[in-house]
Amino acid sequence: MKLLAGIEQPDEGAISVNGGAVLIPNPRAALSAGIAIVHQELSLFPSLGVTENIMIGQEPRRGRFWIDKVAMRKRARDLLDSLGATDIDTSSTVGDLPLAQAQLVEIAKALSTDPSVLILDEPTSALSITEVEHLLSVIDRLRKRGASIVFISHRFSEIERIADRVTILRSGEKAGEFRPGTFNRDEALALMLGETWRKELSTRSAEAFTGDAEATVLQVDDLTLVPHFADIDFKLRRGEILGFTGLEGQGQKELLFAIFGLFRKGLHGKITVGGDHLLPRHPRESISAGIALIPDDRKTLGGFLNLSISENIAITVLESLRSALIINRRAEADLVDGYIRRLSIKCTSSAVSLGSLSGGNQQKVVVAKWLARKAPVYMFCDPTRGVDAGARAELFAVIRELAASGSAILFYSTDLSEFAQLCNRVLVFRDGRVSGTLDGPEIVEQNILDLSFKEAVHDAA
Amino acid sequence: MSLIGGRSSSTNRVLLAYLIVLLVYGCAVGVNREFLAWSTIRLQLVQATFIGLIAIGETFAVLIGQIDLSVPWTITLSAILSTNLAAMGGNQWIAFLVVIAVGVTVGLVNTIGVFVLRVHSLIWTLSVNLLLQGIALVYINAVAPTTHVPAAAQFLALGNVGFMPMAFIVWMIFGGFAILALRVLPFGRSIYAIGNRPTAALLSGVPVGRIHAIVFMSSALGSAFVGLLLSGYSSQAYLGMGTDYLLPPIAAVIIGGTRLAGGEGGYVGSIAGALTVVLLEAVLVALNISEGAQQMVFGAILLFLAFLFLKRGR
Amino acid sequence: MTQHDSLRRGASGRPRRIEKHIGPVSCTIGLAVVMALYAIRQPLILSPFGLTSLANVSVPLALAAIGQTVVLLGGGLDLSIGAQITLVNCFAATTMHNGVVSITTIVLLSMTIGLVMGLLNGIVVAYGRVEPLIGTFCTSFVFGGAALIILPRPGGSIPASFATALTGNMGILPFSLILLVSAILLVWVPIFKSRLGGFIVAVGDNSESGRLSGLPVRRVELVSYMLSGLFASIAALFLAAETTSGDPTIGSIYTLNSLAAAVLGGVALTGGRGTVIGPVLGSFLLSIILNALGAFNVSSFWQSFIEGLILMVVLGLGGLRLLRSGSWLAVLRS
Repeated sequence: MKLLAGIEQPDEGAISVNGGAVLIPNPRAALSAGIAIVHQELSLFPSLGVTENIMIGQEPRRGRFWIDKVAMRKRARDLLDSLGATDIDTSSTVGDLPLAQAQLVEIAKALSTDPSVLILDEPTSALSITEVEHLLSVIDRLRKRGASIVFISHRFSEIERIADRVTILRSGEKAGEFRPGTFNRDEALALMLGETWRKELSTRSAEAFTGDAEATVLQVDDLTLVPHFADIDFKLRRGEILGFTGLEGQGQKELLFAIFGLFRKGLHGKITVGGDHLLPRHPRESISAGIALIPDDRKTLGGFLNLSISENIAITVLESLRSALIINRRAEADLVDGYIRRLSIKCTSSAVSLGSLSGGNQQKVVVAKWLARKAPVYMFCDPTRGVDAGARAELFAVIRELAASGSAILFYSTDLSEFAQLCNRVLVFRDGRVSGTLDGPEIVEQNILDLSFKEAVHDAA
Repeated sequence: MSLIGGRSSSTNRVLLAYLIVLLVYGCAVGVNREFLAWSTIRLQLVQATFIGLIAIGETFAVLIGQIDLSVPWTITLSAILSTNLAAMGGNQWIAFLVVIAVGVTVGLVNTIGVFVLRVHSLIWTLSVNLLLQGIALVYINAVAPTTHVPAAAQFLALGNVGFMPMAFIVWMIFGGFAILALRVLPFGRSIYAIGNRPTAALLSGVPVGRIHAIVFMSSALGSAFVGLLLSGYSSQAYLGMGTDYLLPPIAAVIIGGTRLAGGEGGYVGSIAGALTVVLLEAVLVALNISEGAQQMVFGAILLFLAFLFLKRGR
Repeated sequence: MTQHDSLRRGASGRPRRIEKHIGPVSCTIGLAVVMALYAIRQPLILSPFGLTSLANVSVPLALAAIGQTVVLLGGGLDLSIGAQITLVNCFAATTMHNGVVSITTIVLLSMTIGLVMGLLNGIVVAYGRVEPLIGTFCTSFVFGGAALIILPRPGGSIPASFATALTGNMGILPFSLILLVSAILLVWVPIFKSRLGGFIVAVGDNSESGRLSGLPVRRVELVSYMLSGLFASIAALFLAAETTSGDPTIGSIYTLNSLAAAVLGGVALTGGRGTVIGPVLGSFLLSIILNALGAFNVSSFWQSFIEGLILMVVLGLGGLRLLRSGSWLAVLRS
């Protein structure tokens, strides 16, 4: 996708549009080759007006220099109308629009170049169910007008609804293809997961929690943070692995971040850790209450890529490594070497920089720095992102071991298949609220999706 | 853990900084044989002390990805206030208390602007510099500067212990503390963590705000102390005595191999940087190069270093 | 998450459409209050002579602030504006002689120097990929050093004809205002009526989106710095006319004050948002406050103090807006 957009360059191979080969060294060339892209992270200008956003780079001119504002506004209006977005005012500022409308502006912007090919990259990931429905009908309309469209999505229901032909890609390779009318969910899932995964999937199923039901470590009551989540209640017990599931972006990640004190204000409700109440406004409050967070983004949140493994791991326990004023190098080395062995982190020495390790090993270092704190509550936020299958299995083993040794675990992942392998219980999130709970063997993808879409089914009926 | 946390690239850069010192010293000797005389070297060491002491806090600041440009008028204000109040109070140690008060206050104001209000440190500290200039002007207008400089300050700036200038000894003591602080204290680890990735530091429980405060306070304290030393050196405090100290300390830090974007480097290199800057200035003076040309040379060197070490993404 | 947040609302949570007018409106109110107080204290200020002198102290800052605004709109920052003004000022004061030919040549050459300095900044920032803040800070010493070489200490001279042509007045209409308005009409308006202006604002608003939308991002950045240089050179010429001499320190104060005027006038330091009228009003407000101090028996020694204080308050207020954002990560990433 990035190749077609001109953001990255191909190592080999050729791209042809309408039968002619083209070179796409930069985004501008992509546009002139007739390829328009609706980016997942919208490529809009929040401070500019709707008209200016749609027509940027395509401004109609009067004479050589002057922009013809009237013609520009009219063309923007026409494009929006053709998408059925008659309710969007062309003079409003894009930053003030709700996300769904901004998405339509982005599509209108892509259409303003009269492209031969329109590519939509997960255009629905941030939209609500009804907004998705509207978007899909817009795409339908474009198809009927004769546009060629590439629609990228990880939601089967959308693919079933609008795609003629489906290509499944796994780790950069074509894993399979469905001809018109032959799409099949089970087969698609198998193709997406690949051989190794299918085996692992079949060998494990979720187990219900068997520990002490009374040993509550973390209790959350009526936790609300507008606009991310509302009225969240749950109890987390010693040794339990509780998953936050549902579709992406339903407030799960923000909930973990809020419990970790990353929101300076707006958080309401009650959090109880080990008997103490807290409503953290700063990560240090949560950390001293015994909460650890392994964040999703290793590069900017989890670790320090230019610092050594040793410095990365010791950063959370600097105070306890001190003898008198000075960091005790011997104690530090013992601690770090212990974790390198325990998590089998592959590295030549603890002095090499974190950035020189593979993604999986980087993530193990991030986990190790929190293991060093021996926290009662561990929160894992999409820890397997960009981690290969082997490291993922190792990571899961560490999480299970942690739970077995008495820590309580909160787990969130964008990969729905992971919950069944790991969790004792999951809360399914929809629009920032818990729409259902699944226990032990009930945790299967079908049930999660049912709860994620419960209202959608209702809507369609 | 070798020189600076075992990262060989920055170790190499520190070595490079010391090579540069030797090179510039070679040039100096080539230009004028007097640079071989101990008396000349001692003079340069004292000059380097002033820049080197300021460069301690500046190194910390650059390491956490910030910069402190409130140096010139912190120097002047501290010099004027400390000498005057000590002369009025009749006790020379008052001067040192005033230095501490000025340093802590300026450091706090910088922390509030940079950390709490999130103004870019370059702009904020320049504004603070302007404010301090204003305070100095208003004060001087009301109270004439004294010519009575504390004897302790004079000894620290001009005195000798054996053949070594006292100022240089002071520099080495504070410099040694700075190097140790960066290497073996939790403070140092936190500094590298923040400079490397502030968001990850926050999530790791590093006291980000406290570290910012310590960094800006040590920078302001260094400048304030140098203000007192300079007044001892020239036996008076006067307006504009700090104006030549805006660029050289930063140049020293960056020539010393500390990355301008933060997270990498250390004070060992800054020492070489301070010596380089002082020798470079001396060579330019010996070559009879005008002040304007000197400024252009410094600007161009900094620009070149920024180009090498401070590229942003596409 | 942050991307969506920023799409949904401005930094303060207010709709951006309203936010856009806060700067200019509060400057207008401030200006009215300051003028009223000033006039009560010193009625002569409303005479043609008084108004002309107020305009003359305000116009150079206004020109510098417009230049700063172009760069800010494009997502950059120019800390060399003061040094650029100094260099052009020294150049004009040492080379300009009486006579139409000399004056015209030097004016054109001065503006060319401004454009070239802007070009240099643009190359450093847009093509050298150096942070704007650091890059222009370094070039400011190159420009300032050059000015010191041309004119080591205050001196030089400016022909009286050139001086009166820029600083005189016709009734209550000061020539300096005509200069300001024509600079806006001849440079700013055409640019922001053409695609280029739209591109500058778009790139400043979100340069990644600009790249994805196929805009020539680097060239747009380059041009914004050149425009800043052009406005700085006009400001320098006017300063030369006003002081009828050159001074190698004359420009230094304009770097930070142009920034303050722009921020006061509602231009976002983060780029993409702002008007031309806001910074102009901001410049007048700042200049007139400083000018009025004398009338209120505040000694001129307080000038730097008050300038610094105003700067800190203005910059701090900008920071406070950001603090309303709820997430620590959003705050730290700013």
